[in-house]
Amino acid sequence: MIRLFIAAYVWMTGYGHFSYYYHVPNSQYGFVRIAKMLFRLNFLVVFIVMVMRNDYMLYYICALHTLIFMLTYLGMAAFSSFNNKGWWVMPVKIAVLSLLSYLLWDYENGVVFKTVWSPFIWFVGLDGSLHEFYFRTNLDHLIWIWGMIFGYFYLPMERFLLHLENRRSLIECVLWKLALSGVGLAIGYYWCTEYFFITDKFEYNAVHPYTSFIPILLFIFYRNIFARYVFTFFCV
Amino acid sequence: MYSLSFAFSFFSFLIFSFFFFFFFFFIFPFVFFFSFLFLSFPLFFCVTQPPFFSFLRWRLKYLSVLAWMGRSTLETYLLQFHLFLSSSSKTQVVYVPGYPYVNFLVGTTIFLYLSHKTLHLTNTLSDALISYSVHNPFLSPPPLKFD
Repeated sequence: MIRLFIAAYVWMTGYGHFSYYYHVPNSQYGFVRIAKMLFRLNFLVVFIVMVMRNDYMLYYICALHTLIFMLTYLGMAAFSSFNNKGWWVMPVKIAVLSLLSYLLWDYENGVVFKTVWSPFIWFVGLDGSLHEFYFRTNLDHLIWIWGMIFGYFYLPMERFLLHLENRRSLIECVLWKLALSGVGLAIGYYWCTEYFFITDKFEYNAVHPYTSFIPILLFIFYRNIFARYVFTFFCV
Repeated sequence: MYSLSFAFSFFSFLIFSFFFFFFFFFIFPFVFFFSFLFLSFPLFFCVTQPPFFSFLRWRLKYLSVLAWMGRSTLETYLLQFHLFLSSSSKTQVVYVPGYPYVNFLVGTTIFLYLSHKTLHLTNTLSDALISYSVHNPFLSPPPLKFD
């Protein structure tokens, strides 16, 4: 469960920075934005590490999110003038980033990742090895790409949901929604039985990076399709 | 003559006081209550349209408490080991010995308050140190004053 929450956070990192650079006009690619982001993520943890004389990798969330932010930034900032030139640009970029993450984490059990980070073992290592850093980032090495994909399909999805809700009769709308949620329920049931209720922790760690997008996207789907019936009573 | 006029005024006082009473306690509240109808009678049916298009707004709703908590997630994650828990995350810091629930409330309150304090501190420092401002002391010093 905690793995899933962390995966959801990493999804939000990819989605948020993608949305900022893709949907917001005149988004800043300069040094100030990177510096602000790195300061926000790392100021307190560096302070704590200095005061308590701990290892940086004990608070691995900061390293994970810094790395994911830098990867998203590199993906968006490279050839950034082409970002809004055509529909094919973002899929190409996302494919390249997927290949990059495959090379870093999956190729030969992460030998590329460990080679790249081996000069910085004094900073991101724990007990003289990069295993902790590799393990923690490997768990979420694909979900930020799903966040970017979701950011790319955000406006069409919104249009689709409005088209679904803007029906003449309420019954038709509710029937469409129930049909879609039945499909979602089937997918969720498959995910639960095949991947989630695995008693062995190590087996779940192996399948987590490739399957964690299913519950996260299902949660977003249900949260938005039934927002009408839930949030009118419980929310501001 | 005088007595007659007095009688007239007395009876008229009785009658008009009745109207006065009637006006202030039956008519005036009624008018006051429905004054919005008389003051803006044509607007009344325009403003209170039935919310046909409010479905555009439903998806934007969220729980403000969770949003407040989520703003300082990084700080709560970092500080939970040092302010909320102790002895390497095995036990909780004891503020009120003997009352675990009261201790939990007090500890959580202090922890969340200090997390938000550190969040605001980080944001303030970030704004002070990193900005496009001309008067940023790290990029360019403020203009010198000779007096």
